[in-house]
Amino acid sequence: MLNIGSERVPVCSGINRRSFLQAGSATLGGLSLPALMNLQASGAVDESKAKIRNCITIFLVGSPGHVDTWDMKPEAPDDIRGAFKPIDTNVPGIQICEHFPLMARMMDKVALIRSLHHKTGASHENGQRWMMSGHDFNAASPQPYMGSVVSRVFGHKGNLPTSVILPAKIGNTGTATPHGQEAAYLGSAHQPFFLGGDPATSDFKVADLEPPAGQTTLRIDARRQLFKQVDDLQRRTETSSTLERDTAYARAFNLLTSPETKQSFDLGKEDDKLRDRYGRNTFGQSCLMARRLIERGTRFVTVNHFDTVFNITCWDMHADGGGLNNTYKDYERHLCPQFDQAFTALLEDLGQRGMLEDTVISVLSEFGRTPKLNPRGGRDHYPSAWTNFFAGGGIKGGQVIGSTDKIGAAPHDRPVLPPEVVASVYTAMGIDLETTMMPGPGSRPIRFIDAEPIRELF
Amino acid sequence: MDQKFEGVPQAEIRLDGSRLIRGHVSNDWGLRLQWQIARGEETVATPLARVHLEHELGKLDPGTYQAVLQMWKYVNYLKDKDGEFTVSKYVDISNRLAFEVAADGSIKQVEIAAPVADPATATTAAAAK
Repeated sequence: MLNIGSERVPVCSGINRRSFLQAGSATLGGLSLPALMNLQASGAVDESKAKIRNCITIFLVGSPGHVDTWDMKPEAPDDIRGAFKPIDTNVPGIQICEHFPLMARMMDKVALIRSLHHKTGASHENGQRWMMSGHDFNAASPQPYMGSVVSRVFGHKGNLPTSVILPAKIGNTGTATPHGQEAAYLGSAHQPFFLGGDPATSDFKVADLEPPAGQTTLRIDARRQLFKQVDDLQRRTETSSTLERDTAYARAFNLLTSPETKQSFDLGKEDDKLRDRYGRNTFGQSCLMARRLIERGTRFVTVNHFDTVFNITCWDMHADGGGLNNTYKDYERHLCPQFDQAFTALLEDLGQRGMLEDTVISVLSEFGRTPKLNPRGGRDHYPSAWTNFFAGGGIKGGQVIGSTDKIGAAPHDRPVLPPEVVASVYTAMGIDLETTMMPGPGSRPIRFIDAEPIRELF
Repeated sequence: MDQKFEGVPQAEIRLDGSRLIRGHVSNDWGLRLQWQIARGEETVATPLARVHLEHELGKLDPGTYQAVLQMWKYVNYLKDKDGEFTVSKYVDISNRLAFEVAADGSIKQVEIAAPVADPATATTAAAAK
């Protein structure tokens, strides 16, 4: 059956147009592709009048210890300074952890913010919502994810989704509350596209781009022809809103069937040595895919470095001997090298392609970790101080903004709150926070972030 | 979703005077990459190999040594009561070479006595730092 308005029209195979276009819609939060495409089509920024940049956000789920990574305290007592040593970088006076040797050579491109903090709860989800939306949690009025805001502000460009999350949405990190990677009141049209697959595996496919079982390319093409004929009929009989929806259907067809779209997700098109440079692992290959998507029209990509904190090596270094048993050994052998490799590959690759100036890179986490080691040699959640950073996209690199006290317990100068980071992302992307309003709850126009950007970044 | 690491990393190493030199690591998992320098059963150094293709051996006591390039192989994060990994481990990813350090500090490559380990399955008992 096909749908024309609310009428259903029989077709030969028994698979109707809508069900075809809803292939794999689970990864779109239940929204069909045409609806997503249709609603993403309305942008609020005139690209011809503003310097628009794209953004890749790397989200370090679980949160690295700031004292062990980018805000080291070598003069502090043993139970604070930890196991690692600082090394010099290519910027005199800036030191980082010895296990980021590649990043140390590119510090001139990076702006560290060492005075981040927030004063609400120390749960992962709380930090995730702060850093992904710029807002404190309000169960009655959840706030939209940055990528959803960008989708709403910039609208659609090309066949690809405006906002993509790789490789998977954040899952269980402790409590059953939102993670801040949802469109909230902006509606499911601006829900990010979740890849829902692992680009590091040899059998990787994007579930949402696979045709339904039994559909061949020829049958899809035939269906496209039929779709066109039916739409011609619709155009003669229905309203302008139908035409908008038809454009959305056409986009959805393109997303599903266009070789160019599929190539955007096909890392096999990349040189083997470049894939090696990013690291042949889930995170590294996701960073490479982020570059491919940005190159082809996606505006905002978040790469989640892990989607849970339980029973895997991840940044959540409690050393609890059980399900949260990450230690210095995980940092030294796995986490720091993996991040160092992929992050610097991304900067290098974007730079070599002339894309770094137009791509904002933000590396974010939920919070820091306790300055004092716990009795097991781990560090626990600590929202009172941490370090995140920016690069690319017109950001002034080679600088440190803010500092913490002698043991990394609290901001010492230039304290920075999460909304300022999010406001900085928007500003770096070319959104004027004074003039660009969003439809708030009840469609009331509102300023979408209640903070100023960090001016030192620009 | 846990991190996946498919395939097997591989690289060639050689000795040039007092420098160990490595080539490109193919199928690079992107985890810690280190030189393992051992004398008999004892690991004497595991310097990082990620940034530079070369490693200067520096001052070593006279004797016969072996060198190999290793990468961390993540299988899972399980650890024993002492905090050491029980399944994940360092694996050799290159050919292994042997060299002799003379009393005057000069270094020359020698034939290796032991067979080269299979990079896919090799374990290194002394690898953990």
